[in-house]
Formats: sequence, structure tokens, C-alpha cells
Amino acid sequence: MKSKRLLNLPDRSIFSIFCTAGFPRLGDTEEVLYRLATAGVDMIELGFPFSDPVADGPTIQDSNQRAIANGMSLPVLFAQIADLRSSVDVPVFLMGYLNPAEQYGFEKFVRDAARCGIDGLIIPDMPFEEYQERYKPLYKEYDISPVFLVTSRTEDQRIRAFDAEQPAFLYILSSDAVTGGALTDSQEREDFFVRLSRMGLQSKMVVGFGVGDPDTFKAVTKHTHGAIVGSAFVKALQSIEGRDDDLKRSDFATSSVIETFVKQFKEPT
Amino acid sequence: MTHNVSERGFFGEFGGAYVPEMLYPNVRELQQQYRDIIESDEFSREFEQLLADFAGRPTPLFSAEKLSRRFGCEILLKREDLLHTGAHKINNTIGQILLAKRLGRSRIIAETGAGQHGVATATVCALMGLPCVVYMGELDMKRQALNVARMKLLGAEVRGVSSGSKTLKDATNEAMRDWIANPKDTHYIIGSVVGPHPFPDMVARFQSVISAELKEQCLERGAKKPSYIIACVGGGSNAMGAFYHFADDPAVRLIGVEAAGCGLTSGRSAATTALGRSGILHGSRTLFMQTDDGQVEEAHSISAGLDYPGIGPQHAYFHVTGRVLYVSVTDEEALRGAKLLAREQGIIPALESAHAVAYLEKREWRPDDRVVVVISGRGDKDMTTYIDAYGEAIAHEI
Repeated sequence: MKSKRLLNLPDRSIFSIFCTAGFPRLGDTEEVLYRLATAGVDMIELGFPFSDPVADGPTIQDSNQRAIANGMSLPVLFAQIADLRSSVDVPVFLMGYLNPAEQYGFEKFVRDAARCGIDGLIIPDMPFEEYQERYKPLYKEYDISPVFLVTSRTEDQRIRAFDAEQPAFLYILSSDAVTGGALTDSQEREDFFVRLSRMGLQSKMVVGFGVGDPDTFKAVTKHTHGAIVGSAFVKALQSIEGRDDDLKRSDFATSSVIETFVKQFKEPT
Repeated sequence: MTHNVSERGFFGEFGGAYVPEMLYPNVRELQQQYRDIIESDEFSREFEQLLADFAGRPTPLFSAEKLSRRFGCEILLKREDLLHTGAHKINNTIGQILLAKRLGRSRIIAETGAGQHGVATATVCALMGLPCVVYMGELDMKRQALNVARMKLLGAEVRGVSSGSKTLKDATNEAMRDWIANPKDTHYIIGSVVGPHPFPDMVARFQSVISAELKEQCLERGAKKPSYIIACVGGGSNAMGAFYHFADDPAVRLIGVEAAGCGLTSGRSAATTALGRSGILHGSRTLFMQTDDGQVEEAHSISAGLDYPGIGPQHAYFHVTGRVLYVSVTDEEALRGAKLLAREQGIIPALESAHAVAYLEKREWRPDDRVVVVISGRGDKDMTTYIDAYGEAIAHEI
């Protein structure tokens, strides 16, 4: 069953941010989540790091490496976000690769995510067939929603099968690329979105990969319900580390970077 | 046959295809077509012809008499080192390039560790006129500069990978990212029995020519089966090829030799079966070295081709079922193995293959044992490492 938070999502222009747990500093996770929520994002994907993130480009790879070096792990993460719901009321998803979750114990992973008030899981390397046969009962037991990735080459029949599983949303990939890559030809992309919007799907469609600025956000949400900004936001956080002034390590720097970043997407242009 | 892959790509609990949706159509297409293509008469004819005329098969089974006397048993060497490009890797790249052509792909990518798979891929791409990009860790590019030059001369583009440990694991990640970005025109020639289904089974089939020949050659020599087959295991393609047609015959004992690096407890090792746990890496469920948190650990071996934290899923299966005995040999022992083979039999092996040779020292053999050691590649590419290791000693004796 979908959480109340998911059911309350707006129908248009859902603005979502991806950030990596334990990045830029180990202790930044809660601060970043809180600032994002107060700055007005509609939804957050919180990445838990993996050493070998094959679907990610250089920016998110680097943030993963840094988070691991900082000491981030699932036990640390669940301790950090135990009180998430006292300060953040937008839907939050955990996003990461299957191996760290399996080593933690997949059932324990789903249970602890649910306890922290996580609404859904995005695991790009979990095959859909395995979700159905092996993992689905756990999602159901703990009221956690799945999310499935859809590309322009995913066949209609398969998209309908995803839709039938009542995911939190369908994660629509804007291009054939890893995260942070360039967008493909806009006409081709538009055709893909139009094709999706005509399928009469139940699920919300949220676009990710390659959405890095307000113009792109506007363009990709014309035919979909929203979009996720990842690499561009991670880069903005990196810029705090690069600063050479007294503000560098203060929470004020984090909060002002986040507010400025979110504002450009929220303000009418 | 007990070692066959299941419809969904599993060997027992290992294998499968854990790929993001971006690669699903590519992997699915391969899964649906690889067997029909490989098993067609027309494919077999072309494959066998190229193996014979271009690669130089069959490779000899050489009776190593001095080693036999030394170890008190019959030792036979399967000479994959005599193949074109210098290692068994070409068996697989010929097979996959023929497959890629039939799937209508116009661009080839590959990952490489020691550079042997990269050279073998660049070679078949030159032969077939297809553009080729090879991903290689920057550390490996330094260790294997000669192979980098060979790939370039063959017309391939070599892209250095600076992420992570800068070795084979990271080159594999980068090749998968390239495939994600170029799914329509590109075929990814994986170099070992690793990756998502159908790669482990497909690569094993292409490499199985080693054991097919071996079986025949052993029959010709007094109709006696091997008592043991010994092969080195990084990802495990030469070993799987050498074991393939003997997997169902319990009379033939199979030994996979992993790289212990500086020693099993040194923290600098690549001995997966000793140090690894089950998990998901590079698209399949298999054994690999990882932290308690599930982060992949960096492997270490003096041999770039064995410097990989995992093994293929079928090897993981053979390990847990006990069908294959996996052992390990240190950097030092492998160097001694290389010198032994050079001095006793006049063959300078690749450092990878030297691990298999070195295992001969680690066990008692019986006079009626017929022991086959797979010499998977030749040592030219490793001369810098040999010079570093023996330095003065080589100079003096020359």
C-alpha cells in the first residue's frame, strides 16, 4: 500500500532531489534532508553508497566513494535517519545497489527502512522478475513501495507489468546514459514521453538522469508528473567543500547552497 | 549434465542477470539468441575455421618430461600460450565477434586487465573491420604497457580508467557504463566467465574448445583420462574452458589455482574462494571479496590477469558443490613457477599461468597420475615484472 505521503504528491511538476547519504561529510545526511524539505522539494531520493555503481556517472560515483571513505554504511545511515519523520514530511526513497542491502540482510533492510519512515526503494540492479518472485512479499509486509526504471527501449507490455505492481512511481530515464550524462535528441525524447502518456498508466511518471537545470526540468515535465535532479545537486554540494572561506564547514553554507539550488527550480521562469 | 546453466542463467544459487533496465533489452536479446546462433552449423563452421587458420588451433598437448621426472608423475602441458595473440582469450573473442556480426552490431567494447583480452578483442575487430574501444585500469596500463601499444597498433582506442582501484574491476564498470550509453549499436565482449547471463555460459562454451581438444589428445596418448587438470583462475575463463567437458566425470579431478598475492592473511590477495562471500557484482550473483558492508574490496596479485576480486558464477557453484578444488599460490611462488617452467622446459609462461605451474610444488603426486597443466598464455607481456623480480639474477646469468 502506498503511504499517505505518496498519495499526497502533487499531480504536476513534482520536483525531486537525489543526494548521497554521508556526503559531503558523514554527519550531513540529516541536515541535507531537512534543508531540502524546508526549501520546498516535493520528494527526496537518498542514495546509500556502493563501491561499484555501474549505472552512475562520475559525479555520483565520486560522492559514493567519498561517503564510503567518510564511514557511511547502512547501520550508520539507519541510525542517522531514525528520527527522520520528526522533521521531514515529504516522501523519501532509499536508492542504491542490491549488494549492500543484501549483505545487511534484505529483510532487515526493508524493515529498518520502514521503521525510519522511508516510503519506497529504488534498486536499479534488482531484476523485475526477481522483485516479483523473491522480494515482493517483504515490500508488502513492511508497506514499502517499489520503483521501476523505464527506458525508451522498454516494451509496452513490460511497462504495463511494472504499472500493475503499483510502484510509488515509474522512474523514466530521459536518455541512454548513466547519471549526469547528456540528454538525447529532444524530439526522440518527446516522442517517448508522449508514447508513455498515451498508455493510460496508473503510476506517476517521474523523469531522471540528465535533468540538471530548470529549462530541462520544464521540458521533461511537460508530458510527465515530475523529475529528479541528482548529479547537478551533488555538484552543488561539492562546491561547499571547494570553498576556501570560514563558511566552508558551517551548516549555514549547506543551507544557503541548498536554498539557492532549489529556488531556481521552484521559481517561475 | 549437472553443470548446465538454467533457463534463467543460474548455476545453483549463482549467476542470473542483475542488470539495470537500461541493459535489459541487450541482455535479453543475447539470452534469447545466443544458443541458436552458436549451435547453428553455419556459425560453427566459421568459428572452427577461424580457430584453426587464424588463431592456430588445435594447440599441442606437450609431454613435459623433465617436470614429470621432477614431480614423479606424468605432466602434460596444454599449450594455449602458442595461440595467436599469446593466450586463450582469442577463443572467446572470435566467438563473440561472429555473434556480434550476426546481431548487427557495428561497434565493439571490452574491458581488460593484463591486456590479453584487450589485444584479442582489438585483433578480431581489426580482422572484421569494426571499431573497438578497450577500457583498462590506469594501473594496469602501466604494468602492461606493451599490450597497450599492441592494442593501439591494431587500431583500437584504449581508454584509461582512473576510478577505484584502477584495475580490472573498474575497467569492467566503465565498459558497462559505455554499453548503457550505447545500447543500440554496441556489443560488449566480456573477457571472462563473468557478468550477467548469458555471458558466463557463452564464454565457457567458446573456451570449451580447450577441453574438447584435451579429451581427444588424452585418448590419443594411451587412452588415459587426466587424473588432474590444473588451471589458474582470475575470473576463470581458461579454467572453465579446460574443465568444461570433464565436469561430469568425477574420475577427473579439477583444480583451480587462485592468486594469493602477498598471502591469504596479508590483506593483499585475490583468492576469492578463500576470502570471498556471496553477493552481486557485475551483473551476477557470485563469490567475491567484500567488506561486511558489502563494498567490493580491491584485489591484489602480481599478475594483472588474476587481479580481480570475484570469480565467475559457475566457479562459485563448483566451489560450493566441491566439484572443483580451489587453491591459491602467492606472488613469490608464482614467480618461482615461471622460472621453473622456463629453465626446465624452455617455456616462459604468463604470470597467470605460472600460478598453475607453481601448484605442482604444493602436493604429492603418484607415479600413475596424469596431470594436465593449462599454460593459458605466454610470458612476453610479463618480462618487465620478471626483470623487476629477478633483476640482478637475470643479468648475471645472461
